[in-house]
Amino acid sequence: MRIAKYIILLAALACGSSCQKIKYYPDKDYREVTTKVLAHRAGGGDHSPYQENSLEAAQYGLSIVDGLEVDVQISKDRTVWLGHNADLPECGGTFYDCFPEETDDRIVALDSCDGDKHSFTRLEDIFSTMASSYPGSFISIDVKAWPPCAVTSSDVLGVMNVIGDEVIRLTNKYNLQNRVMVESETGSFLNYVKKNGTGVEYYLISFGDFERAIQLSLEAGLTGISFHYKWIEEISAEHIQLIRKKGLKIQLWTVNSEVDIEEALSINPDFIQTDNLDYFRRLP
Amino acid sequence: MKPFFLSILIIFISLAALAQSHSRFDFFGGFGLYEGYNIGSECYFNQRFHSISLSAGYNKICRYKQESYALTLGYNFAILRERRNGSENFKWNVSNRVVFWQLEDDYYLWRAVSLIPSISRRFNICKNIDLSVDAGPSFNIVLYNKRKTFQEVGWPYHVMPNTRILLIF
Repeated sequence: MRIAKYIILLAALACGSSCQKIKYYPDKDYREVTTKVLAHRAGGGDHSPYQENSLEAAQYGLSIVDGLEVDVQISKDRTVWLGHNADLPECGGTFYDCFPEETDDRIVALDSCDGDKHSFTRLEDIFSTMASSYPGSFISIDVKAWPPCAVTSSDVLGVMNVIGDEVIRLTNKYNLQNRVMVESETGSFLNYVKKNGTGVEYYLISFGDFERAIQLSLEAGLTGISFHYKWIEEISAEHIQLIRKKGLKIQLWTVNSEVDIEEALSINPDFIQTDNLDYFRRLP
Repeated sequence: MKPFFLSILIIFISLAALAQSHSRFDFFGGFGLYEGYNIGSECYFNQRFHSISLSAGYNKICRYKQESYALTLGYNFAILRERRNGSENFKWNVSNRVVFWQLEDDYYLWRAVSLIPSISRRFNICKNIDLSVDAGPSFNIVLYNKRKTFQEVGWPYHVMPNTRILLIF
């Protein structure tokens, strides 16, 4: 009896000693990719004749490259607007609150104030333009978890999820399936979009920890990562190959100098985001 | 890393010698999933009601080409006692351990810390030798990692069941 106990003990030791402490993720079918270029902030900003995140900038961007990257905010009426910051500017002596605290009418009034100084565009206008004039174009929507600007909009994740619902609705309305991507640092939001939307891709934003980003994306079943190019960690062709081998996609941002654009294109990511539309306009 | 663990081994052999003449110390050796094949010493307080332990371990899993080292600090307290040979002994213990471990394979070098609350049962198998079996979850936190090749993507499991079997002298 005692011998049997020791045999069981030895078997348990042998079994336990071979347990795997590291979780490795399986390979997926390899995809050949042609890198797509996205106009950062819809093709507007300092490098462009147009205001960032505006319809005019988007038309300019879409006429040159494969798609757009835009930042979005949501109004009190649950309309998704383009905008990098949640805060709204003062105009004509009128003070405006932040996006989630202002109605669409007030945002339109601000748009009309001071001529062309402030321009606000609905995400739906961009989707409509893409569907009607630029079929085959892509859009990556950056949804940020801003600190709440008022108590009534303090449910930041809830506000983000409403943006997600609206993105899904617009994607279906304009038949832009597999052309729309959302990117965020907030995993819960990406999981929400993944659970509720079809035809929308979801990317985890990473400011430089490639290893952690790829592991989190694989663990959560996300489409891929949106990686800050040449920020904290360099990214190479081997990183890109590895990501593709694991079935993920990658966006690189923001790639602006000619040298960086050529380097980024040479390592063949899925997407690059750039402000330098002049570089691509000059290409034959 | 190897000289460091060799030094720890020598210290524990010394402690084992000390244990022969001082009942406050035990010497133990065994295997745990996160502790590896380990040896160490346990120091008792308050009539063996509390104890702290220190051990060093090593494991090599040829199947995965993994080699790991571990240093374990533990605090144990007894929860049930039995009377043996006219004196009181404790057969159930609650243990809290912190395991600092390093694991290297073809793809990565990992350094991590595992927090392991567990419960253990002691069996007296012969005079002066006890067998201890314990089990509990291991909560793992990565402290450092270094990619060696671009062949695989992995990450240590955040939570894993851990078991440890020890012979205590």
